[in-house]
Amino acid sequence: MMRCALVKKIAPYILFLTAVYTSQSLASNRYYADNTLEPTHGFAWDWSVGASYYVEDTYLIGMSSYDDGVELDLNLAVSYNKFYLDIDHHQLSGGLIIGYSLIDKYDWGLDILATNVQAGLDEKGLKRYNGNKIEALVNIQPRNYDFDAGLRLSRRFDNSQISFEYLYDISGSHNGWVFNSFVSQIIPWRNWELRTGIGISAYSEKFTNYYFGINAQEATLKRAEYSTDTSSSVKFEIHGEYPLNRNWVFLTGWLSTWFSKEIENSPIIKQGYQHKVKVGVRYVF
Amino acid sequence: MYFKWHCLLLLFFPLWAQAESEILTSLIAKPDTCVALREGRNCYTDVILTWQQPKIGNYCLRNATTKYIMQCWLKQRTGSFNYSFDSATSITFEIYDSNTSKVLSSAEVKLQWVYQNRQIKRRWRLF
Repeated sequence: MMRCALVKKIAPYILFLTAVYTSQSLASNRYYADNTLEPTHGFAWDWSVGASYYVEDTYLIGMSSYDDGVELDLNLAVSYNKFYLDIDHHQLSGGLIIGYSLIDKYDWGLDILATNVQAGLDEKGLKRYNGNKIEALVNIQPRNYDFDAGLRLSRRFDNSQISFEYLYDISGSHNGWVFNSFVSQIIPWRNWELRTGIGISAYSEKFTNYYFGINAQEATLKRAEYSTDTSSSVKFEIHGEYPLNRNWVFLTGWLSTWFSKEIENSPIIKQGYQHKVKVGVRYVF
Repeated sequence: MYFKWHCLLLLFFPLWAQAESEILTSLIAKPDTCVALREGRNCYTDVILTWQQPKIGNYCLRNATTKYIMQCWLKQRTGSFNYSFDSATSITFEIYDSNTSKVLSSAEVKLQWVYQNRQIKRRWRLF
């Protein structure tokens, strides 16, 4: 009872801090198979808060090749029969997925879903809420977080899963499409759970130009106008989770992303790749 | 007065004797909890099972459910056993007298999980 009261009391602060202090690189939806376990039916939910130390070499111009800091993390997962809602990281600006399972038969799944794909950026880079202005990005117009809806087709195997998504922006930010494909695998090893995944994504011309193009108003002597075509990226990631006790989990992970030349050649991009490493803990209620 | 002391002794002696017997007749599992990441998964930990008895005898340690005998000791009063716990459920161990088959003490290693929600559509995202 006392624990519930404490949780209710601190939850708004956690939400606020999470929204203020988190930053995100090019986001994607990474669906990991957990097909060896009997799924929960009916209503189920859990939530967690955590903190991680990260080191990042981001693709955005003006950012250090060794950017580090602490990220707070909030995750809420709710499911009711065929509906599911999953919120993590960016409570106010994305990081949310709403889904409904249309078909789930013979290890195949077809879902209708809505989610955020790309983090917004402005003169402060990706840290819109707590960063300082980046000289190389001064006078660029803000790029908003998107919110995309579409279909996901997935095929489950024992410990792995392959999924394809076609999503269309419904937030009005770029009004383009995004295609994601992702292969993921869970490898349980003693009390560890290791997850690996590799994904290929394609982004429409509208998406690419909205986030990485430079229009006439933004162009300067050092920043040329830039307009491009559809783009793509390849992602690889590996995570590890280990239970410290009934409520605390240790987390670690590596994410690498490589971008096609349409993104790499943008005047606001300094390199065609980015890497991020994280180590942290999470409290699961 | 003498009668009163006698009564008090008679009253408390069984409790004292029982406590003494519990201390001497024991089976302790350390750690007594194994935490897996999610329900349904096997949990792994190294458990040390330590037992002691009030008198020297022949004793065996076994799984209380399967009755699988893990180790027996001849003419011993104490003993310990290193057990590699690998199970998706809690396990109770018991020490018994191998001459009489009487169970003398038991200890349980409980299983706990961090994530209770096993929704299949769950997204796992770290970044």
